[in-house]
Amino acid sequence: MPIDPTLAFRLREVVGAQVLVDPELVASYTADWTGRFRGHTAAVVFPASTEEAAGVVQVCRESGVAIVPQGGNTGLVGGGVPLHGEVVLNMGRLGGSEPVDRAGGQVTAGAGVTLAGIQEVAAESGWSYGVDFSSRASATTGGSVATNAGGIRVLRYGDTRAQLLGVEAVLGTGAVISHLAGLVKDNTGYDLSGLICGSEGTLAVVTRVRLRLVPPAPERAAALIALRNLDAALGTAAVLRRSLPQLEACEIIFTPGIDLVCSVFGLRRPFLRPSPVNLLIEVADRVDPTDILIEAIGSAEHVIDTIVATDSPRRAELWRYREELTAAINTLGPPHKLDVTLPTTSLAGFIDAVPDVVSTIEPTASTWLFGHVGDGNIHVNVTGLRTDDDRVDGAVFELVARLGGSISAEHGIGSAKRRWLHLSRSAAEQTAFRALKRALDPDGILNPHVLIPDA
Amino acid sequence: MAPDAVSTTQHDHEHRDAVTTNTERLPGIELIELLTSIVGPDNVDIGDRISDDLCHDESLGAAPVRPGAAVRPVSTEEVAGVVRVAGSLGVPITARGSGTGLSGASIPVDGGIVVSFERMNRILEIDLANHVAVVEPGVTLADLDDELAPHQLVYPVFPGEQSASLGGNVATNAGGMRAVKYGVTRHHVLGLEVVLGTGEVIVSGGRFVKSTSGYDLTQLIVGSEGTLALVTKAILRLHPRPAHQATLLAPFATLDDVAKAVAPIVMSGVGPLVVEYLDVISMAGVTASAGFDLGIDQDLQARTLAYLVVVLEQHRVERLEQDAQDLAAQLSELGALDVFVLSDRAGAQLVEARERAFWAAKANGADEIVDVVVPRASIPEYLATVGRLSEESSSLAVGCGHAADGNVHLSVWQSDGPTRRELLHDIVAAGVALGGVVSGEHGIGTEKKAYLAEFEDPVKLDLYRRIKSIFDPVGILNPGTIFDLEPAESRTDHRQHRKGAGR
Repeated sequence: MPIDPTLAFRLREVVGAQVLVDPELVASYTADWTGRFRGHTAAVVFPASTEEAAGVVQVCRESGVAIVPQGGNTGLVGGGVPLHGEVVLNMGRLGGSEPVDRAGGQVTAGAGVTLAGIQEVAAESGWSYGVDFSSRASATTGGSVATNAGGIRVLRYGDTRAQLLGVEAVLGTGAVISHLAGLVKDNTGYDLSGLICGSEGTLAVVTRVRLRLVPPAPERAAALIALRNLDAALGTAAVLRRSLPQLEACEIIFTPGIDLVCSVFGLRRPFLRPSPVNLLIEVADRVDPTDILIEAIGSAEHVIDTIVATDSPRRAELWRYREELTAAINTLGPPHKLDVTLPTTSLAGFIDAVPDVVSTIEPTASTWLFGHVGDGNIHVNVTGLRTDDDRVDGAVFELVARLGGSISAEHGIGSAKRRWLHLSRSAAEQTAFRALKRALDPDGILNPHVLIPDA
Repeated sequence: MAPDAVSTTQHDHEHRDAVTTNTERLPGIELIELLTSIVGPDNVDIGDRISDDLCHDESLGAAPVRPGAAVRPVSTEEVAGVVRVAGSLGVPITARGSGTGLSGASIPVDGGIVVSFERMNRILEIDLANHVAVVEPGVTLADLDDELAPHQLVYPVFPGEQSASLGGNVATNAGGMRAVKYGVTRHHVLGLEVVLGTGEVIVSGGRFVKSTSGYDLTQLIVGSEGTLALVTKAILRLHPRPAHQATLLAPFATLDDVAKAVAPIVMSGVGPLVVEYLDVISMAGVTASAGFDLGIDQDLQARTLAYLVVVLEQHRVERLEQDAQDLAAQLSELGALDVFVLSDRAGAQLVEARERAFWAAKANGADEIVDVVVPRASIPEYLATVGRLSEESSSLAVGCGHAADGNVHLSVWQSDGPTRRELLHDIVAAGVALGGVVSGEHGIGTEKKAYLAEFEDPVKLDLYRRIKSIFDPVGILNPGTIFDLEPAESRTDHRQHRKGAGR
């Protein structure tokens, strides 16, 4: 659909030449990386400042045109692609970060700075950033705030919201609110930054973020632990979580997943005697944590075998079994990716039940489970399903709701899960969501087809 | 309810005498009947039967107010019923926990209803597997801690007043000394059950630490000071309780040296539980008031201008010793005049005394307290400005605070009202000029809303009002707390308009 010439003209008044309208050029901004969500757009706009972003929002509001804010386009729930022909507001040019506030241990960054970029500036100043996940090279801070991204270090440092000291953001009215002073204690009114965090671009467009940094923990050790069964793995995870304050990651990987990574990427199998369940853990401290790690594993029961890695290359080798899993699964066709969280006490029941729930609906589908077991966060990937067949998604979410969990732990609701939002959030809560959306985005132009189901 | 450590009789304040019953403000018979039908006759008080304790909080400047009625509900349904009644009659409601607030947020509205949570004080569950506690709002921090200690678990927010209720902590997003390690209340609230201003009950969150499925209503309500909803149940995150603690005390020659030491200590990775500074006057005050002596020789004391107190904790004693040793060496390198690793008893005494700093100042007749927060590196510059301002107005402002959070607590002595108000305004303005805000942890309440109106972005204040009208469309929940329901300009405009119309 070609762009309305008046709209194009007005957008160019705001951002100059930074408006793409050529259908071939906009194509790469209209689909997500898994290929599951494909849309179309008349224009992709690249603001370079908060003022420009506010200008674009104002123009779109006056023109009655909806907007999808987009960061690194690494989202997994169809929340950042124009599935209904929205204008794409790509934040890639808001890429600079201020110098790290060394004394405060904080940094202010543009929404387009990548996660890897933040990690780098933090490290250069002697600090560290508490969030990490495998799409770090492309995922942006703005996107991670919009989705309240989690990742592998949540166990120790919390989710993105826990790092967030404030945002600068453009509301749906075009007004800008800025909360970037970086005060770790601030009891002056409602927590607007916390409200915008996790709102998936439906309340405001995040243009800059103020993040807390954490002390570096340079001495590290990782271990891949083979366990006899699921109960042993969950029990061991609980013991490690309690006894190792240095624990930074605690991931569960099942052996079929490891086998898949090995065959796709030509890796060696880690254990001679494979076991059904594995934990991949990493500890980090200011002093060498290897002895404490080995002692803690030694005290756990039902461990069949352990590989401990202390130096960086060998730790990276162990991490490949976990981090390449997503890419390995993708070679089997676009997977349905369900990211759920459960109370610790419901994890075992959930993991046991999921494969049956899937195969009852689609006997030829395969279920791949892995995740951040330390947080109760399990990723359910299902391959062998049509992309538009969401019977399995619904059945798994219903199981999660029955077990007291949340249907999205860290990916968000997006387009993919919004018809199941009622499983996690009550009608009263959704009424409040709609009212909050009207308060911040009265004309409903910000990501209108995401998160909140149509009333 | 646990006995308040400081009762009003011990610390009588001048304007407490001013609490009188205004007979014109007695609630209508209809309201009393409706409230009685919900909570029963034993749990509704009116007029002189309302305890004086319910009329005030612990702030130094706020005048007490006698409510029209006080109710003591025992369940969420009763709370919802009370809110519906209040809504139908347009009567304001003020939620009340232990009344230990410091900014007037739990002081009743004249003629309004106080909802006291003293009967909703049950710890509903300690969920050992999920490291979660489920509590009613009237549970005190002390009660919860007693319950958790045998399980080697801790709810790690220690705002300094253990008789405070968890409902009140959630409403004010209480902070305290341990925030440098654990964060503040909002980082530990996983879920809430609340009653909105409409009487509707909403449950948000759950027994999980990770969720991104829609707007975070839990976090919006945390810190909203009773203006959006009444909390009836909270799901709180617990942590393993480290068995060992060590306290280090380091005297410094300048406050600048103290401030410069903070970032390297945090960065070193020893993970301090507490990083507090005390100026010499505050240190003398808190130790004298607690009745102990640090045993630091006169000569060293004479060279000291400020103290840094660092508390460490660990699961293993040998690791704690290593951390304490490394930290002591680091403090020396950072310019400490000396470093004392205190005995367990002395360490506990000092931290306890520091926690009572406010009460010590109050007992010594302080006229006001300040809760400004600035970027932590700006503390010396800020305190230099405060020193100049107090000198100029012949006042005294001394203090201590959470050095790693930039949260400065000052006690101000200036008995002349107008001079004091001007000084406080200048002290807040100086903090704002450095990128700070008026409240780090006590909240805005009624006492500081003029500052918020003056210094906060009107776009945000407008959003606050719109958000309040969503949760509380009639405007009955703690109206006039944090902000006035109508912005000052529009009220002025209104008056001008009327004046104009009359001409």
